[in-house]
Amino acid sequence: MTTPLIWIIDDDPIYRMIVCAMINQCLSGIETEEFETVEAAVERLAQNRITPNVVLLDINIPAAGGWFFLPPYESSLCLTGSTQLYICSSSINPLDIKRAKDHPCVADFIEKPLSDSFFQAIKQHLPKS
Amino acid sequence: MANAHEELIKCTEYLERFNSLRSIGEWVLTVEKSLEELLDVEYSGLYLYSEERASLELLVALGFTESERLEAERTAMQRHPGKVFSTGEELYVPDVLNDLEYQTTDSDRSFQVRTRLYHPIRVDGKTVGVFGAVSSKVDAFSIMERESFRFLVHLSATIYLRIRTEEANKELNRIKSRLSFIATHTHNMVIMTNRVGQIEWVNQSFESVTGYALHEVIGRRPGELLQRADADPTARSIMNKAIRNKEACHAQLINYRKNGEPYHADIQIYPIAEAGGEVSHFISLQRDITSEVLARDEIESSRNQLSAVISALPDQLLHVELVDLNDQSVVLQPLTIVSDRMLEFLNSETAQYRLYKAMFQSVQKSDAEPIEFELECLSTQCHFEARISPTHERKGILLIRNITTRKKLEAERNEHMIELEQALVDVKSRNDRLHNFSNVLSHNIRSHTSNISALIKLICMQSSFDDARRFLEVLERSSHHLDETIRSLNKTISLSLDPKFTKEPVVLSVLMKKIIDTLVVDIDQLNATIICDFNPEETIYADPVLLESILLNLITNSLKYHSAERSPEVTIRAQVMGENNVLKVIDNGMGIDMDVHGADLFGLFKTFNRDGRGRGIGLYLTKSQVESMGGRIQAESTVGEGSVFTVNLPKS
Repeated sequence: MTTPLIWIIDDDPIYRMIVCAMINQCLSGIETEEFETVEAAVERLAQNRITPNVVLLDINIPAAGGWFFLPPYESSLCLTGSTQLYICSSSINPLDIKRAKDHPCVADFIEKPLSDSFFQAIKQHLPKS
Repeated sequence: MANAHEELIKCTEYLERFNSLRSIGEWVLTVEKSLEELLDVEYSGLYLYSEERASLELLVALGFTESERLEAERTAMQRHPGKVFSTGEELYVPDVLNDLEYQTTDSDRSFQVRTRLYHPIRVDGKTVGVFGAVSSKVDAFSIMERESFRFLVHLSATIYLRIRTEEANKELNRIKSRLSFIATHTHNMVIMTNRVGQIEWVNQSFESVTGYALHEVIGRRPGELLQRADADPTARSIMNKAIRNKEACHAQLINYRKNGEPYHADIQIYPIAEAGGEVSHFISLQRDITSEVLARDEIESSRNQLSAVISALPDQLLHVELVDLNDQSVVLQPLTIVSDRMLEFLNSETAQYRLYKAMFQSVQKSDAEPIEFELECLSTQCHFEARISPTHERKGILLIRNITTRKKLEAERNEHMIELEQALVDVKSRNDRLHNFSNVLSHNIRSHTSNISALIKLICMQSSFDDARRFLEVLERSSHHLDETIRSLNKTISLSLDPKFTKEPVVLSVLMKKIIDTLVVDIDQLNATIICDFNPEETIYADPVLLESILLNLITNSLKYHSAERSPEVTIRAQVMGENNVLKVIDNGMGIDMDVHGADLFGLFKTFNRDGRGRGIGLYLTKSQVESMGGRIQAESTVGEGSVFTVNLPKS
């Protein structure tokens, strides 16, 4: 049995640090992997070796925005059905929210900051370690 | 010689004889018979004056042969009968031979005339004829005979008059009854009055139109019955004068029916003369012409309205008529004053063709396009619009309106529309920017505040202060980022709110010196080269503060994003292109992938590198500053080679 894995894709180091700390605080025995850029995450996707259980994707990332992650994800991880992708943003732009909720590969749109109840909820989808 | 008694009996006989006479024919025979009995003479006769022939007619001729009678009648006026007729006095010549004055005539007679007797026939004091007798005896008539003769003359004259009057009255009655038949059956009103204008008879039409019955109006005067004070005084005086002078007349005026309702009457009055030429009656023919008058008034008022409309219309009007379908021309007839120039133009071949086409369309479907044309009037170019409104099958009215003012307003309006559209585009883009700005604002601030709140939550979860301290340090950094974000936003907002700027000549070399001084530390550190590729006198028309900010920002960017492989080199080039100052900032830096970022390059909070040096405000500000001076900014770049930013600023 592999350890459950969560990907964090966000350019804000503080945010990534906070999420890791909260995951450690709320959940136990979880591995996290951080990506500062979409490109890095896509590269990792292409390696096609490790399957995260949850992806937390920010959309306001400089250079290629978070949305650029979705097409490669859609044609790989999404197909396995074992990964849940959440779009996390401090944006309250209704267009972003609608676009996220309408996307077939997006589990939900989550407004920052992430709460412990959110982590409790995703705990359900993680395999017991 | 007969005695007096016999004479009296004779006279009584005459009286009875004549009294029973009913016609002129009977009278002639009776006069003949009486003269024959009374006088034993060779010739006797009765002349009556005919006004038609202006001569005496020999109605009774005793003893004359036919040729003698014709001769006597022909010469009557020149002989004794004529003399008696003109003097009105009896002529008695007892012995012609002894009276030289009367010897000369009658020479053709077959015997010697010795006695002549002529007596005038007088009726109502007027001589109408002559009785005459001649004899071959001297002093042939006794006094008694002459008296009887005179009596006979008077009697026969009286009876003659009576018969004539009776016959005339009979004729008059015949005429009257014929007239009455017509009058009864005509739709016109007929009024018959006596010689002083009192009604004697009216027909049925009169009764039905006026509402008065015949018995109500007999003896009344038509004027007092039918007219009121409002009757046209001219028409009244025409009628009064005609009746006084016994003449015919024609007038129109308002009459009133019995129920008080007015009607317009057309009245003709004719005097009717009796046998003797005396006017005894008037016949008045009246027609109710109310509907005619109303129609006439209606036409009149329509005509007035039409002319009011024509004069009130701003158009010039012409009658138009399609002459010949093949001819492709129309006939123009001005209704209002149309200038010669206009007519000349309208009669030109091109105008005729267009008019013809419009006319043809109007006739076909009555919604022809107005024709617009231009003409030089009073040395200014004027615009006109012509429309055709069909009246008959191939006729119509052409309305020509001067639309110069409208055209001018339209042009102005179009100009304003363009300005407005531009303004709308500006407002829209401003609004988009504002919208984008607010989204970005909320995102950027919220990304920090959400971090802060998450950190606080984490801190609360820590059991030891040492564990918490780690997060507190991060919290401090987060709040610092938030502060920085808010500061840079302030800068942006203050620029957006304060678009005021001045435009003045800025000497570029002076400005560049100042900028290089500001950046001297960075330039030294990076070992960078700044090349000023422009005339030292080069002058840019711009707001000095804005221009400095623009150039400073672009050069700072060039230095900041230099290539790691080579020393930075920044060239500032200035040229004039038409009405614009063109400034170029050329570097050999890392470059920007225009395919990915081109669209967002100048967007607010768009950053293109991941080293955290950009805040996504610089280029946004620069673009805003350029645009606030009416200029444009463009970028070209190749990754790994460098970038060129071009600023266009209008000189004026």
